[in-house]
Amino acid sequence: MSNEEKSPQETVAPETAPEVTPEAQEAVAAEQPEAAQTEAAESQSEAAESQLAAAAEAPAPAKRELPPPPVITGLIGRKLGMTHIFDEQGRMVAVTAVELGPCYVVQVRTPERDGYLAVQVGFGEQKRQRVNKPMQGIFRKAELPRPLRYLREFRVIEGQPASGQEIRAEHVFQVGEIVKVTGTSKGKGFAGVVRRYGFAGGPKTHGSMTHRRPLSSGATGPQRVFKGKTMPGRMGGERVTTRGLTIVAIKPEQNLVLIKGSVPGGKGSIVYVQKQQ
Amino acid sequence: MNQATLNAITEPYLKKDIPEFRPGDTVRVHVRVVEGNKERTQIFEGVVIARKHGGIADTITVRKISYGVGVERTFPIHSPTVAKIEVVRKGKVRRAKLHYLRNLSSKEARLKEDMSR
Repeated sequence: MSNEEKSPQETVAPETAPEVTPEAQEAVAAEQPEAAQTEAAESQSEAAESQLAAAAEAPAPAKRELPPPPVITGLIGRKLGMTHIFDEQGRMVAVTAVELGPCYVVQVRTPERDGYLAVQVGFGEQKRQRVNKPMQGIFRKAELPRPLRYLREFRVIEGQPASGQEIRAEHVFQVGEIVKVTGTSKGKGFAGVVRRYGFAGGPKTHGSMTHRRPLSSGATGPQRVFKGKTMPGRMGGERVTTRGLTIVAIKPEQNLVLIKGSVPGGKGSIVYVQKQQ
Repeated sequence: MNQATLNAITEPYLKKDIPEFRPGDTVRVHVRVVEGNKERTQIFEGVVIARKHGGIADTITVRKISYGVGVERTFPIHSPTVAKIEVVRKGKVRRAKLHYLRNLSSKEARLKEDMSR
C-alpha cells in the first residue's frame, strides 16, 4: 500500500464516519426497551442469542449487512511458538508462528463522540458467565455471537468500521510488511545485576571475592543513591515491544502469521502485532 | 495442539525422498551452488559423523580428507540447496556421533563395511 493510496482514503474517512453513528445510535435505541423488559424476556433473548451463536459458526453473521472490514493499525494474536522455514534462496529462516485474529469489532470510536477514529477489537472467546453485566451489554450491542476475552483499540487507517465486523490477518497485513510486536516478556524471577543489567561482574579468581556483586552504587558527591539505580530485583514479566520484524507468510485458512525472528513472551501468550508507522 | 500447528507449518518443506543412512555411512551430497546467475551442482563425498534430528532442522555432518586436510561440512538435509544424498557405503560403527574420527590418522579412521544392512 503506497502513501498515495492512503492519503485520499484518510480524507474520506471523516465524511463516512457520520453515516456510521446514526446506525450505532439506532442500535442503542433498539437495545434500551429490551433492557427494560423482565428477566424472563432477557432469558428469551439470551436463548435467541445462543441460537444466533449456533448460526454464527458460519464465517459471518448473515442477519446484518456489514461494510467490508477496515484496515486498522494492528491485531491481537496468540504466540504459538517458533520453528524454521526455508526461503526462496534456500536459506533457513527462524520464524515465530502467531495465531493472529480473527478479531471482531466490539465498539467504534468516532471523531464526533470520542474525538478520534478507532475500533475496539476483541480476540479469543470467553464464556458468558465470566463476563460481567456491563461488558455483556457491550457485546450484545456489537451483536457478537459470544463474548471476547481480550480487548484493545486500534486506529482505523481506511475503510468503514462497524461493530460486529470480522477483521482477519489478511485484511490488515501483507507478506513482507514490517511490523512491531508487543507482548509480556517471560518472567526471570529475582535476578542479579549481571543478568539483569549486563554488569561485567568481578574477577572469578586471584583471590577475588566480588564475583557477581553490584559494587559501587554511586559517587560520594551527592551522599545518596539516585532513584532508578540499577540493582538486583525482579526481571522480565514486563511489556516489551520488538520493532522491525518482517511478516514472512500469512495463512488465512488457519489464521496464522509467520513473523521472522523472535517475539516477546512465552508460548500461548497474547501479543499485539502492529504496523510499524 | 500448538506443536501440531508448528509441525504443519514445516511439513511442506520436509523432503520425503531422503535415503536411509546412519552415522558411519559414506554419502555423496549434491549441493546446489549459485554463481552469479548460473546454478550448478557440487558433490561433497565423505563419512557421516553425526546426525542431529529436529524435523526441518535435521542436519548431518559429513567429514572427508581433502588433500590431506580434514574437511567437515554440516548440511541441513531438508534444505533446497541439498539436491540429493546418495549412500555410497555402509559403515559398521558402535557410536551415534563419530567425533573421535577427528583424532585418528587416515589409516586408523577406516571403517569396516556393514554387510548386514
